[in-house]
Amino acid sequence: MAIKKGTGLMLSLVLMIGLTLSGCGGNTNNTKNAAPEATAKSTAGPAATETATATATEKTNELEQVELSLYLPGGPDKDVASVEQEINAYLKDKINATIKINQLSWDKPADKVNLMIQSGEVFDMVYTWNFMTNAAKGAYAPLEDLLDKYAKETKAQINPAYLQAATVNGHLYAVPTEKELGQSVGFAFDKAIVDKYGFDVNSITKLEDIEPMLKVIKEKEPGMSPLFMNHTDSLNWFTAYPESEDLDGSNEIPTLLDYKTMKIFNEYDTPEILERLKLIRKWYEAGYINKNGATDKTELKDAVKSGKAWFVYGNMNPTSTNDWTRLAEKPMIIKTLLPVQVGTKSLQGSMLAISRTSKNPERAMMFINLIHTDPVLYNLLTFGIEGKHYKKLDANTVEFIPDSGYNSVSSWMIGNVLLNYLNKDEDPRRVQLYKDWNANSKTSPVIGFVFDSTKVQSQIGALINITKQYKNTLYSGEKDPEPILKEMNSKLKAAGLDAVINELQTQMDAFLAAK
Amino acid sequence: MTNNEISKFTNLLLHLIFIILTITCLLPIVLVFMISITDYDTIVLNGYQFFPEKFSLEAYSYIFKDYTVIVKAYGVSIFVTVIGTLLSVFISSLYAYPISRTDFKYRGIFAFLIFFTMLFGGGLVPWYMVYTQVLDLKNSVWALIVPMLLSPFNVLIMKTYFQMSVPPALIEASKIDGAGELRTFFRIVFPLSLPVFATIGLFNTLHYWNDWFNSMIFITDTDLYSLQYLMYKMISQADYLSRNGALIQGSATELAKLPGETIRMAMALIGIGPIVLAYPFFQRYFIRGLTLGSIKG
Repeated sequence: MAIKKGTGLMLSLVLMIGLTLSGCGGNTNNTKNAAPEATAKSTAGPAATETATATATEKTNELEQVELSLYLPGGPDKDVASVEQEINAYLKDKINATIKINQLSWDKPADKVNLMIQSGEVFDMVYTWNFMTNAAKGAYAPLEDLLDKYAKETKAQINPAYLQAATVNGHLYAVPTEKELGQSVGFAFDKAIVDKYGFDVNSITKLEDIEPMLKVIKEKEPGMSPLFMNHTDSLNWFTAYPESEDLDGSNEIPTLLDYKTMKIFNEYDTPEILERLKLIRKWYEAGYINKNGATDKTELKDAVKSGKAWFVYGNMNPTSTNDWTRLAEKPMIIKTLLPVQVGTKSLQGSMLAISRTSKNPERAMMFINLIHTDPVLYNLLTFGIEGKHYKKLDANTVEFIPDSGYNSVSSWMIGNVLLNYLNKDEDPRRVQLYKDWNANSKTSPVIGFVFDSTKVQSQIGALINITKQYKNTLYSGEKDPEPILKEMNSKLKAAGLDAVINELQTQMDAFLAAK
Repeated sequence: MTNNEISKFTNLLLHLIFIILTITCLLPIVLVFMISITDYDTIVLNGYQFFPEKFSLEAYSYIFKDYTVIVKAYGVSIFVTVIGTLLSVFISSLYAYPISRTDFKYRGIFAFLIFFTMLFGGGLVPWYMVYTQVLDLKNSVWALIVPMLLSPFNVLIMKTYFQMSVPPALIEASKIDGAGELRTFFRIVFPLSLPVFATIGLFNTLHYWNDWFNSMIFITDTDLYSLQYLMYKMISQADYLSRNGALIQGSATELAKLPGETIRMAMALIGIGPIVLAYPFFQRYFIRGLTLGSIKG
């Protein structure tokens, strides 16, 4: 009997362990959570004191060796360890830190980082996904003092608009990548077709101007779709309102700010959008648009490559001519619809933040300063090792070695793009192109405004779903837009669009008043 | 004999129905295979075809460019599936068996615990914290096994099966004959319950084989990717890269050659892999399960 009782107890014990391990036991978990949370909180304290001691030790020029972790999208690359080694050897004399590059690959990297943030994991630097939400939540360390102290050079050279865009509630929470200011939409045309029919692409100033070209293609190129659409690329790239800005962080809800009146409005409830959609509908009925445009999964570049389409459209940057020529494997001509718009959101495109849980924020800032000012380190980080991952053609031009095992850390993610070597396919005038681009750009009057969406989070979720549901149908021209717009707008209203607009407007008014 | 015979016509009809059924099941796989060996430009121009104009093995050469990664992922998946299935079936039965016994004093509490966890979960963040910070399983192969060891649903199925098909009198008899609890479980209950072990085993095998979420959350080390996650990652990577190709400086020239759609199909075929072999293996236990109890009413 005693033995039986013993085995029974043992079985139950095994089960209890199994239950705990399996993590299904919500009740057992809760007690365990207390511990890591406590440690996570306490790291913030020492970090602050360490900053003070670090400044003290710095004076004696004896930095203690630390390891910095860096989380980036893309990869993981096979050769990342050997690149790390080179970087660490180089960094030793500079800031005596080693770096651990964690590549999160392109599948939901934001979710992974959010988990790390929420669970209080200790890490140092991270590419900023969901910047505004995380900054508002206090996931990142405030950087203004660190920047002043450890990154003076970077602060001096970076465009102030960038720093303004990375500021939330008066604190700087990230250092943006130095690259072209803002974005502009435009077209990249197949040069052969443009030359064949003598199109004057430079005369295009608005979307409507391509209509005569579509007509020509329709008549003379039977195998070609005059205007090719797929499920991700439709004409919603081209806003019907030039003097406006999309303010919300989500990019998916239909709220725009009118620059003239500083009022927020629903972009789907205006005569302009109806006119635009009617135009698309007209093009569709004339046979300019492929029939399954709303669902087609063919990428634009592939469509152009195979001769199914003759132009791509969407966001363009100063070096797009080369990019698209490479991707479509045929000469392309770019026409950007100027002016380039610079808004908070386009400035926030790619930034690097220091985690609140970082144990060495000051060293992380020194590292950030280096990738903005030190070409050797920056090229090592973005291009890899010479001879192994790229070949040098001349002092400043390089060629990548195919399948080299290190190609996912791109310069647009971090640092200062202009420090990069030129890629052999790249436009040699890159620096000049960037300068011209920035000179041509028009800065938003409300730069630095960040929408805190916490109060209307649930409405935003619903609105995004509705917009997604209708967008492709509307922009593909498959159906008469008028009744669909009406239906969509009534659904949007029911889902609480007005509440979101009100909230945005209130925050905008407060922002303008403070300015 | 004559009683069981069916007419020739019915026989033919049944055969026909099953042939059609089989074809509808197999054709999509054939199509997937044909797409996977189609030249990508041909797909862009002509859409999916059973007999494409132009063949190309580019998708496979892209996937197998670095075949060691795939081989490793296969290894990880097989290890996780085999070990995970064995462990989880074992642990589930060890939980289910005692709470199926009416003479187990604490069965109420334990039954409640398992039922409770079925209704209420701790949420993603606490769950993540337990494995990364308490058990420190991040980047370990156990992170792919441990989180799925015990599923309350499986435990309840097993418990019900034990209750229904192992008569308490039998357990009592073995007790009288001098068998201890462990001997009773392994020598009496286990052989009688093979069908439920096979069922839960199959559930778990599929579950472990198809899991990519744990890899995504816990694993950053390329050597420990499971096959499903590797595929998932490659597809989302190919997707992302072909959509945002202009952004990626280095590999843009290679990117242009990325055979998008065909990769997807080639991966589906690779992913089916050995798991199709698992079904026949488990199947014989199901047949046995159906005949169980047919001898004596």
